[in-house]
Amino acid sequence: MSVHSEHQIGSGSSATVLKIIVLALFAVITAIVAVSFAAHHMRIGFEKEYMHQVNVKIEQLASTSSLLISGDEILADPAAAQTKYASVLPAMLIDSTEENQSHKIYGLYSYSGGTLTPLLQSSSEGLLATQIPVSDWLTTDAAAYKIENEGQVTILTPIKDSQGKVVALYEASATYSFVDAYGNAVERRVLKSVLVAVAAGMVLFSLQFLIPAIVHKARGKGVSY
Amino acid sequence: MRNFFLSSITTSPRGSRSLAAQLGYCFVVILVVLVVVSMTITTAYSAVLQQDHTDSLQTTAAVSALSLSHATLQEGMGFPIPVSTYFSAGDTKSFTVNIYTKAGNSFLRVYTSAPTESVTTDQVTLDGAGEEYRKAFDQQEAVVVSRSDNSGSFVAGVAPILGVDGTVSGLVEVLMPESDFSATQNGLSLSWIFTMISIAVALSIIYFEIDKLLTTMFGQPDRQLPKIIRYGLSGCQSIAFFSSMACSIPPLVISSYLIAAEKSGKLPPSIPASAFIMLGGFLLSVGFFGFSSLRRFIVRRFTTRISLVISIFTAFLLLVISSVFSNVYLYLILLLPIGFCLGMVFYFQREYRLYASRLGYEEFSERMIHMTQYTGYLLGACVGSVLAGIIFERFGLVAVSIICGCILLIVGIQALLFVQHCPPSSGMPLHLPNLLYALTSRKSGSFVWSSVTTCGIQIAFYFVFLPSFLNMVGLSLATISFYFILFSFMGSVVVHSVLKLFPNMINMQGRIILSAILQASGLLILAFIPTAKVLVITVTLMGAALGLHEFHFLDFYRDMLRDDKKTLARDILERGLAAGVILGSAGYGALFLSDNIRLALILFTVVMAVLLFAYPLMTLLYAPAKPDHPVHPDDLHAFVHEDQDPYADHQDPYPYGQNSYKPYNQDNREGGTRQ
Repeated sequence: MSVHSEHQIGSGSSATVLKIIVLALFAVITAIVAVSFAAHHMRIGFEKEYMHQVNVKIEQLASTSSLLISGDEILADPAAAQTKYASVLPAMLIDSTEENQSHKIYGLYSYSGGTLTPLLQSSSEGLLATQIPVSDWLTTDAAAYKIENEGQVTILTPIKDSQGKVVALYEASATYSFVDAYGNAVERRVLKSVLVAVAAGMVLFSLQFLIPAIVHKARGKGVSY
Repeated sequence: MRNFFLSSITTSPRGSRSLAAQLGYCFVVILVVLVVVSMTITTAYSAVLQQDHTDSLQTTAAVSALSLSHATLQEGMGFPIPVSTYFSAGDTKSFTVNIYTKAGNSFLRVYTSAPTESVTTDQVTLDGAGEEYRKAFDQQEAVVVSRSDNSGSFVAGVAPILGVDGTVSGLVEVLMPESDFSATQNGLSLSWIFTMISIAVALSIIYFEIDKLLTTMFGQPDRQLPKIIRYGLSGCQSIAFFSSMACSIPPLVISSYLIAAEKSGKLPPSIPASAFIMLGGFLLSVGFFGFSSLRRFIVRRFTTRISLVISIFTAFLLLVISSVFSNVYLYLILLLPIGFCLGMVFYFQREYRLYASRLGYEEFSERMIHMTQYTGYLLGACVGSVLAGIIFERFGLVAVSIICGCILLIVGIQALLFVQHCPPSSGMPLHLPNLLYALTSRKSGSFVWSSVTTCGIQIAFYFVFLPSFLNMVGLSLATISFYFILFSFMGSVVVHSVLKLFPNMINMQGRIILSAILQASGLLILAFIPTAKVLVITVTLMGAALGLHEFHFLDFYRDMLRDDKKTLARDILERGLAAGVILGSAGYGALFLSDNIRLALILFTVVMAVLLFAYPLMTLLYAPAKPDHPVHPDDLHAFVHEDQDPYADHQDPYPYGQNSYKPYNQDNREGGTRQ
């Protein structure tokens, strides 16, 4: 006894229509989900890469520019040091807001008796040194202290005088909060384009079924070619 | 020509031609869209990264110039601050710093931080410098420019150095190779291209399977056939596909979920995430492959189909609970019952296979059904892995659980529709002493360990080791689908085709030895070079190794046993496979506890090699003297009964896999006749 049974689709057009609708819906949904995943996956990867790049940049800048700040000058005459570094630091940490997506902000503080006194602050917002407990950044090896918040990385570098005593604190920070908005905009734009592309693709694909039907209908009405 | 054109546009594609067109179109459109999207996003973010490099070059040049202010620029001078580094395409590298003084119309280099072996002792003037350098010098501003010389193309940050008298005494140039400037870590990498191809393939497969499901559902079943096989093998394959798709998702997301939990501080810091991953994999595999007596009891108590539906609803509920509460410990505890419920879906298909094969239809022989189900399992796992990666990474664990549950509901509906009657299998249960006795038998026992248990261990390789390994090397979970597709292609297409073309090429023992060699060498290569690229070779070898057996193990094993023990053969092999998966999930999970994955993998490979080669060695050591004349089945019977060990001691009396032995080579889909 043969068990070969041809599972032909039911002759009723409702089954065919239902099948087409299910498959079309499925194709659209899976295409959107796949593209959404791809866009999101790439976006997350690039955002991580960008943040890493900015982190390395600000760490290097904080490290090299702090070497050019003299602890002895700050200790001897904070007012004169304030004037000097008010012209030197902007020349080092160039930040053209028109071009750069990540903004650099910085601050210079004198330190004595467990208290930080701001000498210079490039921004009234985003600088964190005064909010961080001194014990966090003032370690025995006076190493740079890194703070990573959402959309911002800050490096606090203690400045020593010639005696090796910490007399000031240099804060360099980079903000990259634009990344989130940028990523959302890119993702939205891509998804819109894909929706249009998939819709256009389905219309194009259905032409191979529609054109023969139209041709047949036209022939039936006696149109000659 | 005109007629051809007219006939082309007046005839719409039908039947398989239409389906092929749809599948091709689906694959191409998804792949093209993914590639275009990836390129668009890469371009958009490359601009951002390059902008940051520009900023870095400009600022570093300015800091360097300030550090050199008032310094005398001359040959042999040093650089007062450490040379800065930059991050590009996953690596941290040092800038090259050059210092120049003005010499007539050009600039003379007086210092370079380039490695000494690449620096000439001759005087070097600035080649390839444009007007920007002169502008930087004259107008005292920091600029970023591109320049090329005989050593390559660079992007440079240039800043003027102020002398003692307040005038510009020279230039400092901070260089980065052009290739580093435009390089990105996350662009169209090889792994991402393979992932996109896998996504397109997987979505085409699922499109094909949904089309097949709808066609089968709306089609007319052959009512002359018994209820269980009315919908043919396509119904059976469809159930296998969707059940495999659903069941492969939960194990694959365990590692990603637990690693994310560790990063968010939900795991105790004293215990590594890999320990939890090992525990999770172990619990799920124990639940999935263990508790066979309980399964048997439930199936007999509620009937096969009702127990399947109960299991599916329970699994759905447990999956949602485990993900909604977002508690790691609850998630781990629930993995055991979730595994049990998912295992019931496969147990149902086992019962289907046994009952359908007993009806006596040639097309529904057990091996034929098993191979059909296996194809469904492979395709389902490929799609499930893509879904697991996509959904988990984009939408999280709750979405994964809901989608997995929805697919399980489809399986339930299919089972109720396509399998309208499936009584539970009868047979004597396998008791532990019998199992232990069988496993400790010299030849048949070593066969189980060597061939079947190692298959189970390799299942754990795909569901426990691969997700953790890909996480370790920083690849997306969705990339796992590429390895699944590769495995399926090697085992089910390449090896299958070769064996079809050369049916007499290799007997069963040869296949077992070849399989052992391929598996051991695949693992060994990966142990020495544990990278995603080498994993491709490993998976290729393993796919070939695991495609060799073609489901002949049961028949081969049965012939090793005494007649009164043959009925236990299936249960023994099933337990052997289950033991392999459970041991493998613990073993592969434990590899990541070690800091040195290479050493851990080498040790594991040694253990695997011992297991894999145990049976071939046994056959060599205890090979019976070859008779001068071919063994007649009656002689064989007498030989078996002379032996005292019921689980031993002769094997391969027939050349398995060769045409001379009909029982295992008479599968013929054409003209199915009742035996």
